[in-house]
Amino acid sequence: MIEIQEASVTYPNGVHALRNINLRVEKGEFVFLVGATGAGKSTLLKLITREVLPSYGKVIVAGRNVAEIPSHEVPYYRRMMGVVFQDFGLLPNKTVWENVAFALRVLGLPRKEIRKRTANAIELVGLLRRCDSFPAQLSGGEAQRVAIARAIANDPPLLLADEPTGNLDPDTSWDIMQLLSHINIRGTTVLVASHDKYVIDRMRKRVVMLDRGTIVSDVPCGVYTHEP
Amino acid sequence: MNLSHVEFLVEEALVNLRRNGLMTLAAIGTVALALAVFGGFGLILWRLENLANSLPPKFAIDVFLKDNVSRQRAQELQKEFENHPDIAQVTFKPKEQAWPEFQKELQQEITAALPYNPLPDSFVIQVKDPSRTGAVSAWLKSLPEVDAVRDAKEEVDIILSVATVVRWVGVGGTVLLLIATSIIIYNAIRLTVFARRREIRIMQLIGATSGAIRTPFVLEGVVQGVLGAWIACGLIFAVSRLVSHFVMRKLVFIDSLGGSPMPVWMVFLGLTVLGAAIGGVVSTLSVRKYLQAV
Repeated sequence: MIEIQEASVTYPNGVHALRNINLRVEKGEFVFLVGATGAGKSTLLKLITREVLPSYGKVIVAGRNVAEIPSHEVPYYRRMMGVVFQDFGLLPNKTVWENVAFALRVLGLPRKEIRKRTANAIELVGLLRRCDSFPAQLSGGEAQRVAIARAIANDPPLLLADEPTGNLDPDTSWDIMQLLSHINIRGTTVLVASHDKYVIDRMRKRVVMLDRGTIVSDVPCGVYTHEP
Repeated sequence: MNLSHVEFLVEEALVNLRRNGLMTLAAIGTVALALAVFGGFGLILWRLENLANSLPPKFAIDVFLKDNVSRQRAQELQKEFENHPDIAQVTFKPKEQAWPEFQKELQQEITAALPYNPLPDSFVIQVKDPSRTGAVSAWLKSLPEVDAVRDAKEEVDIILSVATVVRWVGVGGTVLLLIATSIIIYNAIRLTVFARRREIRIMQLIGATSGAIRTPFVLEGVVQGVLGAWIACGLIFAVSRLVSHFVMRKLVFIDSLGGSPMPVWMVFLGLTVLGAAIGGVVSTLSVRKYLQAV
């Protein structure tokens, strides 16, 4: 599904965010990217979303070299992945329903199809009763559920989550991880950047640890440890 | 792009305008004020230019014929004048017609004392281009049948040079004001886009094409521009009504000098098109910056 070959990223200000990264993620896997702040987790996700291009090396997603995708095709490339942010990234002026439907409306799907998929996604995250609420009226956990519903509404083969539990209490974090796990079991490849030791250790999934831009460990069924 | 997609983009624009109420109002208010100043300036210029252009034709050339010129020769001269490329209108004024007018103008008692009509036959000539007054006068003076020529060359020259200054100041001022207006509107609309820059990133990450992101913003800019232009039109007409009501009544001669007011539809259409164009263009520029970011 994802193959990163000797990729390095140096930002224009000279910061080396990633150095010589090699990573392979198979279809249907659930992978945690862990590490301290500044370790390069978010940059690695941005390589996959093509917000950042590698300074060296290759990033291949679903058989395509990401750097070779022309700008006008990038939106269509991004439709194969759902993205979840730490701060939820909901559109503040849209209701729960509209936020989820928006992702489908930009694809130009017929109204009937949009209604069906939106309802399914919101039902999956258990928020049908909050359809008419605005993001400001939701709790952190609810807002993150809406973000996940939006990310999966289009049924993408890949789900990327950048610190999805960073703003949530442990119980809510656990619920969110369970939800991501449930989505993974349905066949979606899931990549989660996190440093939430509590949930990572309980999940027992593959853990890839980054430190100062390099991968220092890659353990199946691992735990989050600060000592590589 | 199918119909449901167009519907989506228009709906997006309208919903955003409504839900970003305060930002929308601030932008519309700024557009309205900027366009009102611009339109007001344009209206004043139009009035001055019109006034300056309407004055010179009022200064006709009076051509007095010698006593010995027959009526038949006068008719021939009239044809000759009418065929002259610089002359717009020729009116023959026989002495019999000029005399009662003269008597009326002066006091009849004084003129009644005269035993005969001392006035000559004359022509009242209007030139096509006021700047040709001097040349036409000189030509008329050179004719053997002409006794005297009276023109207002000096007055016409002054008015013409004032009109030229007004025109150039107007063109310069309009260009400068248009630039200033565009910058003010650009800032106002850019702020509304800036406040929603995160939305743009989210839209990009969920796979919205640049067109799908840009179009609602551009439509919003156009709507803000048009609404602002309509408010500006209202302001301009209200102020110009007040001005004509309170000032023009006291300065009656200004209106009597001539010059037609700018047609209402022209101001309305001009400002609407300008508002829509500026709104659309500055929205496109504002969004472009954030579209390039990801």
